[in-house]
Amino acid sequence: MLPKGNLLREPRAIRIKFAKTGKLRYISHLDLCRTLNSAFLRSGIPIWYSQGFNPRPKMVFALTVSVGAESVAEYLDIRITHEMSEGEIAKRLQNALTPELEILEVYRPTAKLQEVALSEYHIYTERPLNPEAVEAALKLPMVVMVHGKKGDKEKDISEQIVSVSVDGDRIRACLRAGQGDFLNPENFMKGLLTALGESECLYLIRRVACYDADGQLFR
Amino acid sequence: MNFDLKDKILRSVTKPGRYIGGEYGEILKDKNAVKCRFAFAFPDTYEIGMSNLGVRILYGALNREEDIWCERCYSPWVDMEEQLRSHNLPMWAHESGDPLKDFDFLGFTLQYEMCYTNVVNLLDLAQIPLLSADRREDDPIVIGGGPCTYNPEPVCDFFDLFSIGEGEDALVEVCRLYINMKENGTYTRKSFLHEAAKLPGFYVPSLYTVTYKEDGTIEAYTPVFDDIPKRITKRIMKDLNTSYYPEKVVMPYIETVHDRIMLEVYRGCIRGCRFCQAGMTYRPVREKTPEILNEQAKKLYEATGYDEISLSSLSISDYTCLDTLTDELLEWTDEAKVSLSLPSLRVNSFTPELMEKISGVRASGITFAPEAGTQRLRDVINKNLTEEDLLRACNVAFDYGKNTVKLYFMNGLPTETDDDIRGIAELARCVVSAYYKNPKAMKNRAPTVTVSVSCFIPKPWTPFQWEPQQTMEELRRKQTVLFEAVSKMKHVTYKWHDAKTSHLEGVFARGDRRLSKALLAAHRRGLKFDSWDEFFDYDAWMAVFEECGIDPAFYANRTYSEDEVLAWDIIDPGVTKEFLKRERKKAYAEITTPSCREQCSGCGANKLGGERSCCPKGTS
Repeated sequence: MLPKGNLLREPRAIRIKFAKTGKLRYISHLDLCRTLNSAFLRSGIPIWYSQGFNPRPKMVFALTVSVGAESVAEYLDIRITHEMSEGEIAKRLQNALTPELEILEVYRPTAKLQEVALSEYHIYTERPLNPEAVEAALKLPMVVMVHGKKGDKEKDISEQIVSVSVDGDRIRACLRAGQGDFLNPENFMKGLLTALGESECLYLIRRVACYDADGQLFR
Repeated sequence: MNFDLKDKILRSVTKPGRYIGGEYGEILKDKNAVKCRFAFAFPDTYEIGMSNLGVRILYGALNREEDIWCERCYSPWVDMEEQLRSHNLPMWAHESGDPLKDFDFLGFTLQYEMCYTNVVNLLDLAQIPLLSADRREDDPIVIGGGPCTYNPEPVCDFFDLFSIGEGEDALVEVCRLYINMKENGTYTRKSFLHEAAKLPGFYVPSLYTVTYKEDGTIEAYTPVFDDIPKRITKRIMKDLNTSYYPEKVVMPYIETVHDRIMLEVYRGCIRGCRFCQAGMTYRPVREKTPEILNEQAKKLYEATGYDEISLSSLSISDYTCLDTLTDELLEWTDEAKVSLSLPSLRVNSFTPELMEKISGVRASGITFAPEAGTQRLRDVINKNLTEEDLLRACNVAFDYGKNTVKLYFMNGLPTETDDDIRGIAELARCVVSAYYKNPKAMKNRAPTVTVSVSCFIPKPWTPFQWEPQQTMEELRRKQTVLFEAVSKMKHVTYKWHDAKTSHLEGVFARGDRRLSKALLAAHRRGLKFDSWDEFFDYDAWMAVFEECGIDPAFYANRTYSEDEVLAWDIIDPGVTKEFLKRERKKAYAEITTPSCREQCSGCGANKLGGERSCCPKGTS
């Protein structure tokens, strides 16, 4: 039924960089997976299926964002079984999605997804925060309740905060985002706002970029 | 940065994905360029409403019209309701985010009686006057449709009009009438409703007065105008091959109850089980051809990317071209890794060939509905199924490695005795022993037979519409009899429905318009989501009836006289009262009626027309 290009000798790895903004910030990662799953099927992209008893289109994500947060730097790896150009994949996938899930770039990856080490966020707050107060708060240990596999526990996250600057109602924060060394920006904001006595302040998190351990823009 | 109120609210509720709209496949139009805005409300959660095939069809059918924009709306969950109320924010429609009260029409689909309080609550959340009589010129026209409107009377005070029967063409027609009257300046709420009452298939309850006898039964329905019909004949789509079927689906972001392609294979049912309302009110049978269905399935797959197709109908095995259809589908579904599911299979059609075709389905079990435990009672209800058929079907499933069987029954059926109840346990025991006798069954795995028993509710437009619903005490006693019979059995699990919920359903199923008062009182007490165990409050309901001077037993537990005027006689669903009376007599004589395909039972529905049905043409 689906028009297909030539069968590839080996499934080819394809990386998709996409944005998840607007209403899509209310959609959980699990629901995003289901959405992309059906989007791939209706797009006619020859996606490679996981092998085994219950084959599924195989998708691997670099990072996830929490419900409520936006991102313009999401990375997803798939493999394709038949020839199809990256441009065609981008076009077809975008047509199978709403504009708030925007396909930014489709390419053959050289780096591994695990090489992501840092994430940069723009965090918009309801009211401007005092830059001096933020600077002062960051000099102290920042202990927050972290939700982990073994339940909630207190953790000092200050080591995982790489850089922070405040510009009016926007915070720019660079946080650790490596495997086993990931700081959830929600926890960062919880810690910061508590330290500032502003825990009621609303904010919107947007991931804007990912970097590798050398500080190079991840691709 | 400014955070708007809606955003603040969405951050604070569970599953905000229920309220945001913006799904792939939703239809957006320029609100200034359309002439009629229709909000289609499903009075239950998003997850349930998005799974409804009727909504999918009508959403598409209305939006196919360039100058009509149909949007969706669902009952907000209680946390969302709290937010809406505390901020005095009116409920909005999904697509535009505009308040429901700004629409031309607000339509409700009434799928089950237990959603009625949600209808009232949603009107309240939309800040629309609850009663039709209180609505002003610029309030939306509130219209109801769906299976419950074969007796719309209990909710009629809340509705301006009802669309009776299948709505694909009817809803467009009523919107056209509205647009025309607005354009030529003849529109007033009153004149519109009068004109709408003349359209085929539309019922305007306020244009009919009801008088009652001293014993509380209905004396007569009288139309207030001479030019509106005395009874409202339901609408049907005569030819399903040519009638509109959506080739796109709004794809929910969050998981819904039925998240798959639903391919409607045919409407109606040839069987005539005497308790079944759908089997009577969806007549006459009209089939689609396998070619059309295969085309629709392919288009739906390409438009959705769903990996499951469910063949939907009241009884899929009765589709005359099931073999051809499944063969044609399998030609491409296997390769596309799309699985087929065939709910509503009858035991006599459960063959090894069919089992092969659906073996890709991951479910480990199968479900059958014998409905009654003994042959005698199955004859009474006209469920043409024998123990032999059931065991043969189970053996086919066992041959293919299945080890769980789910059996549906009802208790409280007319003429039922304790022997019939114990017969349910006996039947379950036979299924278990068939498993152990089957040489191919996987002996290292034990079988599980689940016996699921609901309470019989007499429904309008069935041969049992005059029967009393058994009292709760009696239903509970029978549940105990069955519990004692199965409790010692190995591998049999017993599940039963709460008789309290069934009792309330029984009241509203055969209720008349005096019940609108009770619904209003229930709403004022905060009752809603009655079909949800965690919200259903039986005692509060009984207090409501008490307060309103309504005896629930009058509606649920009374034997109605065959001569009395029934609240739902105002509707003509095709089947005649004479046919229902004949069927009732045969039930008491334990005589079955052959299926429509074997012999016409003269039910009367063929007067409505219909292509590719097995009905003899013309009036009966």
